[in-house]
Amino acid sequence: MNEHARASELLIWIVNGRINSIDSQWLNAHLDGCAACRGELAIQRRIRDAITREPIVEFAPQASFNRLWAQIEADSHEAGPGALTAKAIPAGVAGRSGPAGRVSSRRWMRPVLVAQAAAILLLCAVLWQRPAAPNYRTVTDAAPATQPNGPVIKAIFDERVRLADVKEILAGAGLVVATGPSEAGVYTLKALDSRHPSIAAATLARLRADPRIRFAEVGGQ
Amino acid sequence: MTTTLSHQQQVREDADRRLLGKVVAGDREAFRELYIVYHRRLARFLVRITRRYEIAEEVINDTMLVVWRKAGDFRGDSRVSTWIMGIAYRRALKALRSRGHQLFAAVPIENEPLVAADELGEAETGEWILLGMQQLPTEQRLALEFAYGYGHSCEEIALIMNCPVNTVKTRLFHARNKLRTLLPRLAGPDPAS
Repeated sequence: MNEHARASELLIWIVNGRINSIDSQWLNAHLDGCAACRGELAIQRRIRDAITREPIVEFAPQASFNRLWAQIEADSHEAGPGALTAKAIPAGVAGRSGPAGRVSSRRWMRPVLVAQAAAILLLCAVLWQRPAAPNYRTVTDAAPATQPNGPVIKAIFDERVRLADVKEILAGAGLVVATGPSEAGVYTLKALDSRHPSIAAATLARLRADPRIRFAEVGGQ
Repeated sequence: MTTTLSHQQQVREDADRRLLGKVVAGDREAFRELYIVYHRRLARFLVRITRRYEIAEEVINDTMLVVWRKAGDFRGDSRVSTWIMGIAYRRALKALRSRGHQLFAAVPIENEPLVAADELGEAETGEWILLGMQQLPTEQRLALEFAYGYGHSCEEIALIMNCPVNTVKTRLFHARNKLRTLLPRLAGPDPAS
């Protein structure tokens, strides 16, 4: 490889700051005496500047994050309690685990699981002996949390949407709020007519097409 | 050929690792912080290679969903950004392939070289360069993006693109030569002359 070819290969790494000291020393000495390679260096810097220039498009990362978080939350509901946080400790970021760490965690898990099973059995026994709840509700009782029986839609409304808009959107789509909002701002919506709890694809499409709704997806209950 | 991180890169890497450690423990706020940082970094190159904002958005969320789920698998033998960029790279290729190869292939616009007029300002020159880059095969264009856009070393780019270091060198060599042909006024005198 001749000197120019070697310099040409190294230029990219001096421009992006990842050249090692030996190559850097050699390249700088070469550049001192080579106008052509200095010209090439200037070109490479212009290419880097063009690549690193910010795009014209405005991004809205918070809104995108809300959509992703709603998806994660919806997935975790399907996966069951604890799914949102139950993760292995990585070797790369915690520096105290790896295979050995996971083996030891299984060792203490066994008695915990046994204790947990005993607690569940005890709870079942208590509930079995407790009289059933009365099948009526007084006017001072709090309304029970709605547990939808049919399919539901998980949706996030735009932050600027007013209550009147929400009512209009829901009425137009034939939906009502079952639960929500969650910490991530997710509402669970169900069909207004409980006799026909199914949700048509057109309803979902209608919500997705509405600019006042950031996210709409068929979700688990 | 390439070497250790600059001070700024090291500071960024340390911050990324701290955040990723919290993400493993299920810390939503840490994940949000990491997301915001990488949304900006990933959006720039994803919009360029997909040319469609909505696809770029989709790839970003696919990528960060993998980060959320697989943070515990990060072994720490590369930079966090190399790991995340590798996921984004594979997700982007998958998204492009699923939509057919028309976005994946280089789009020839004309046979004449792209010439940046002397009176054009830096912004316009930048646009010409980016237009020239669109003529490069995707793998060559991405190798340049990873090197210049994100400050990755040759070895890190090989990791991201899952190819040998020599392949990265070859891609960069061809990318430089092709840009020189497409943008003759940006090129200096021929070193051999």
